[in-house]
Amino acid sequence: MVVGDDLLLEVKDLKTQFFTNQGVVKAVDGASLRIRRGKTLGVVGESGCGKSVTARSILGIVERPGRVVEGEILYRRSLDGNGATYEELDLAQLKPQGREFRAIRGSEISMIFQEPMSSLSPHYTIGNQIAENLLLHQEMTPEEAREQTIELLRQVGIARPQLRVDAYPFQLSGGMCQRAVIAMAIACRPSLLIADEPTTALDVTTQAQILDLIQSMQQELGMAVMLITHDLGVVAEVADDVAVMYLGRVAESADVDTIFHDPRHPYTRALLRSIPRAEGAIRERLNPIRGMVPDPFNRPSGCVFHPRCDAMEQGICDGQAPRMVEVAPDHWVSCWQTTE
Amino acid sequence: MEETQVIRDRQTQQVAEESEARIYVASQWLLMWWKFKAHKLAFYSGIFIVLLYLVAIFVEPLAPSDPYGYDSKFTYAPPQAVHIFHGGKLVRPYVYALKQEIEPEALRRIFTPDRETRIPLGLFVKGTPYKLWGIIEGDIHLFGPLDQEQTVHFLGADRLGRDMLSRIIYGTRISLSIGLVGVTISFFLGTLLGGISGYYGGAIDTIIQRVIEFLRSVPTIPLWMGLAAAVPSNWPPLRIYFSITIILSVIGWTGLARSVRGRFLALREEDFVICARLDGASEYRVIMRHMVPSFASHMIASITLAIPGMILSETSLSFLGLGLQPPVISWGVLLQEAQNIRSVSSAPWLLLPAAGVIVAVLALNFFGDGLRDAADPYGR
Amino acid sequence: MTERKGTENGKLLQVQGLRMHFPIHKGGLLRRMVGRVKAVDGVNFYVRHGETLGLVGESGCGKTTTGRCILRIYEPTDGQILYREVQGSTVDLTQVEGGALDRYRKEIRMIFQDPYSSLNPRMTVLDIIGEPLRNFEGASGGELEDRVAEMLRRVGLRPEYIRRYPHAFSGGERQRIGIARALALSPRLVVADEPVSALDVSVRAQVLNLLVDLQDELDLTYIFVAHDLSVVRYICDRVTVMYVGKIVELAETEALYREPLHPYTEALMSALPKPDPRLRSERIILEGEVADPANPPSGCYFHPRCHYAQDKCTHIEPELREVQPGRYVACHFAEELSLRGVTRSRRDN
Repeated sequence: MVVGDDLLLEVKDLKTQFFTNQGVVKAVDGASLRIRRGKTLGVVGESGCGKSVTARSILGIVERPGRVVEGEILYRRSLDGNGATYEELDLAQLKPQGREFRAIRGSEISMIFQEPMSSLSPHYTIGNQIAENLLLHQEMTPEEAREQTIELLRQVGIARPQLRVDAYPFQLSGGMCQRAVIAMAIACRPSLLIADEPTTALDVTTQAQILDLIQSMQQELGMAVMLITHDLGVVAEVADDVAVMYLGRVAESADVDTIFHDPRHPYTRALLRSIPRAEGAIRERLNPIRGMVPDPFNRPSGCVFHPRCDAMEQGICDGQAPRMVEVAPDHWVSCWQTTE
Repeated sequence: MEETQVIRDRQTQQVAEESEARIYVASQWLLMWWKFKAHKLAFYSGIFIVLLYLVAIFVEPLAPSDPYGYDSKFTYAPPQAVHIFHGGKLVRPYVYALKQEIEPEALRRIFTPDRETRIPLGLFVKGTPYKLWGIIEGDIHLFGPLDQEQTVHFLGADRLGRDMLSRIIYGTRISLSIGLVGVTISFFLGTLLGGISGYYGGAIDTIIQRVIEFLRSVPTIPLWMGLAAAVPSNWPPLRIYFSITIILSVIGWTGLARSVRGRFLALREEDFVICARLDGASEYRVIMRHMVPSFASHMIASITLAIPGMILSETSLSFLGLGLQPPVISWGVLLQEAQNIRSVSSAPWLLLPAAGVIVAVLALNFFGDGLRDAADPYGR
Repeated sequence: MTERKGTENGKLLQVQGLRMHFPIHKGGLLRRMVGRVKAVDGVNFYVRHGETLGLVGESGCGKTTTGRCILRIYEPTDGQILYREVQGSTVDLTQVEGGALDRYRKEIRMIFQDPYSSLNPRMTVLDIIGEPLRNFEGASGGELEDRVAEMLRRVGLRPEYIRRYPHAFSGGERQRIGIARALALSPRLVVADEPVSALDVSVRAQVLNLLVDLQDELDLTYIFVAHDLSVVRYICDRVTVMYVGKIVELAETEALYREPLHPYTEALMSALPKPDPRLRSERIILEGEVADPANPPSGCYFHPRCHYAQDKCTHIEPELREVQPGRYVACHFAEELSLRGVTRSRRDN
């Protein structure tokens, strides 16, 4: 059972929709997640599953024409440093542009994105941008901000930080830019860092460095991490808990070992069977998932996965959407077949 | 209850599938059209432009009077309002005749509506004879006074008593068409030179680009003044007309050339272009079949946006007396009459041709914007 | 599955001393060359008929450039590309000019990485797949349609889709169209440039299976360019690891994964995230960034990041040597180092 003070953020039945000319896209259609204080939640899914939109909904930065239409995003702000006493805020109710949200965004909950080059403005030095975050949220002089920026750059492993602080993003490589972005995100010691595919655009060796960095920062600052990725390997390496998303809903969520060794949802199982592994046999036949991710305008009825599911039962799975059921302590599945 | 839900979902699924199939086989032009239609402002502007050009085509029957016919009795006559009520009842539209008095101090003619005399109006009335497009004879006008002996000035008259509305209508033909001719010339020049520049690169590209930059850095008005002054004034109006359009195209092609060059440069590196070469396509085929369709829509949008520039250029040139001259009628020539403050303050309707320019240019801009937004329907 | 149909296992393509240097220009009117990007800097390997050779490495290693040189998309700065024709004669592709190249463009084809930019959005599937048939074989009308429909069926797409435009298809389906286009002329050698990197995880399996099936059906030889070591293991018989324009190791897949001989290969394998939390291990984290091909380090290009580097490595560039039969390494200390490969796990799903 998740202890009360263990839970940092809880998303309940979140629905985020995009109102386009061609119709309404239900990017997130009833997703529920739990992020524990100080732990890493890996959110896995393929394109169109809504994981990025979920992250943006939490931070109130969903682009137009989308917006959160339903659900709760319960953030437990600690009042004493370790979560024993806290106040609960529903972020879905706050005005996205409002002052309250802006005070949280960037200082208590931060986000880093996939393309480090586009996360940084090319017009300002990285020192300038990191210091901006500090000055926005904390009381300090520009000189103090600069000092702290140099220290942050050192913490994220950028060599010769006192020189690099005045560098422009185009002068740095992809890996270094991502480190700078991480420095910017952790500058105010957030309690939650959301990382949206932070390593997808990087080389494998650089990816290892960055993941290593995120993990060490997590330990140092005691912050929770919500890591969004499509790479199951990355999730296996760094996550404590995992949520598997498909077409706007959470199919299954549990701790990482359970997901990989005792998956119950047919999608999770099929996904694990279909990925190529470095330890697999050479030229061994892979087991792809049948069919294709459906068009977002054309969502299947009932359980959204049913057209591709081997365990599908006519009349049940294509009728009503299944609810998330706790099949074992902290192991939630939304599947008619598993939870009957 | 659940079953009906399921059935309804399946039906919507079927309908969705069918409408999807339409999208799947839609060519880029169809997709562009759909996207364009959704942009309301651009769409209605487009309709408006079509109407404007219809006016330009059917100028002769649309103008209620002879644009060249001057009448000293009606110099600076004010606009006459059309009324449709009389004594509280709906009647045939009419205007009040004008009473004239000479004001003793300044010896100015003062016109006041004569509420006793009504001049009824009608559709498809007989009026001054004309030759449509110079070939078809006729004398039926779309609207005007029932009695063709009566003089009506809906938008007032100018210094020589000529009817403003008729002159403005006649002005559309020249003002709107000069844009087209100029733009066509710019189009060919711009595409050719821009294409060569972008496709071959290297020295040719450098030379062409420097020429473009040189042309663009020359101040336009003095350049036009110089070129216009070089056009002999004793040439027939038509020849002058074409000379003016060529002058306008001299600068106009540079914008399109740059944008075409940019597209070529970008497209050269696209995977599908490389693939076309690997697939054995000749250079000609690669350009015409693979690259050109990719920016054809952008070019159309650029051209449409260039037309208002041409219209404004002609209007400015003629207004300054450097372009077309009377008796040729264009909006710019008409605005020459509005050059001195005294006439304008006593007869503000002389500025109405400007309204024509503004309206046409705005409509074309909105239309061009809509085209440009729709031009890339594949925006990822 | 490692048994390959032994047609004739001779060398189909041999690359020797391949160099591809891109000049860096600076300055306005008169452009001066201020340096060179040595994208490919002396590469030697061969591909046997019927096998799949992997070209693996991170960004800037030159794997994609090598593939493009083979197809003569780029003109190699130096080196030879020896291609064995059907009749048995060998021709150096770098010496073939203009129209004569067409003959080889039919036999050596490419599958591109990005399914979105490699298909012209303004052409129908029929046009796209039919393009090579039209140009090389003059096919048209009904015959063209039949052949394209046949290719669509071969790659697992419905022939009715022939009139659709690319925007009607998902990433995986587009890649299939790209594959159909590449194979329409029954080529002998196919360079697949990261064909699954841009696809969703569950779709990769479908496309990889398709590639393997087609290789058997059509007797194809693949050069498979990739950065993902887990994908490479599935489809490649032999693997070449590249770093900053040079080959650092070349070996049979099984041997490479069991025991790499080059520190960079070891680091790559170690950095690979394994999809099993029970396999978490101490990973080798390399220092610094991938070297810049315009300004590579002295001696062995990898030495600044190598945990085993010694003084010799800073000055002397190691040569690619055959240290065991069929195993090539470019490292001074290949024989002495004992490096860790990828452990095989018991699959217990």
